[in-house]
Amino acid sequence: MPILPLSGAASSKGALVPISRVKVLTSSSYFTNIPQIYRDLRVIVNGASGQTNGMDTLAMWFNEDYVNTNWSQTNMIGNGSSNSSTRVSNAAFLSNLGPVPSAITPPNTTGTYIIDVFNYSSTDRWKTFIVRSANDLNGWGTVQMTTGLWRSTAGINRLNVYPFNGLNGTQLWSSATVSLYGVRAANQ
Amino acid sequence: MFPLATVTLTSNGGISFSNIPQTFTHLQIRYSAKTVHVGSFDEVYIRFNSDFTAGNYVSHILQASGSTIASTVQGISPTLNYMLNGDCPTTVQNAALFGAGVIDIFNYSSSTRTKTVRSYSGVDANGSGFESIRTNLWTQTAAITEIQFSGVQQFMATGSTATLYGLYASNATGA
Repeated sequence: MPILPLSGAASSKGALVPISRVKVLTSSSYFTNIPQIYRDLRVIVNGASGQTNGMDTLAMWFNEDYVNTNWSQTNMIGNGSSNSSTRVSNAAFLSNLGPVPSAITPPNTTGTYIIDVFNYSSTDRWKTFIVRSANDLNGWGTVQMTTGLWRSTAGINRLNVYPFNGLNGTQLWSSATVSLYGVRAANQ
Repeated sequence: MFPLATVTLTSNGGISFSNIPQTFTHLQIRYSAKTVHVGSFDEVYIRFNSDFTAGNYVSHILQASGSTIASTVQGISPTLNYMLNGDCPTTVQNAALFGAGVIDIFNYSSSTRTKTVRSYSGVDANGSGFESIRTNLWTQTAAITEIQFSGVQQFMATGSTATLYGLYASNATGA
């Protein structure tokens, strides 16, 4: 496909469009009424869990689907001395998209998570997403890449992202910023 | 980051981006794809400027399968006339399953350096699948004006889609 001159209307607009940003202390973090006008979504999370019993993990689901075992994931993990690959199938939602520092870790330590959700508004395909996460705790830490699948062809209009153990406790995040972006295609 | 072109296949085949403007610093391709290979999984490749010379492309791959991780180099022996850029499923799998990935092409318009390409990609098929991070080299110094994008074993299938983006450097930071 020949590339049109940059004076074309589509190419004059930036591809990464901020949709919403939440700065959370203890409250939940989710996005609703996500517009169906972009090609991909990108979620950037930087935060720490509020739970106190050890490292936490990042959990996510779409469209309030956390009961139908529509979820699966493939993981690639490195911890500074070894690597591993693991898999989860037929899950109600995905509860480990990367370790999340918590109150037991060095003060003010956070983890970072970049989530790419491809073709999120498409109704002809299941939703594949890739999560790249990392935390370094000055002597220990983890890098993880996860490819996830939501076996639904519905367009994604709601996205929840939480520290998993905090979800079962009284406090979710101790601090976090969660940003949602739309990624525009050339015809959008 | 500016979208330059989006292609969605309406029949099985490959995707080509041509006449790429030389005004950006980097390029990025984001894709959702599958191929018509008879196996369960395939890979996607890119080729620059219709350079079919075997040996001009090398790929270093770190790939996870859900149980193991392997680090490999491809394109040395045997040589390849394309670079291996990501994982994808095939039409053997459920019709709604597509793999996805992001490919970054650095300093594509430079005429003094060989071209380094980085990608991350994956496909999870609920019980099977692969994901990988890759660094690729095109040994030529020519500016990239054309990119061919398709499946390694077979053509991409109908519904596969890719968008090419141009990324500007910051005058302030050079980033």
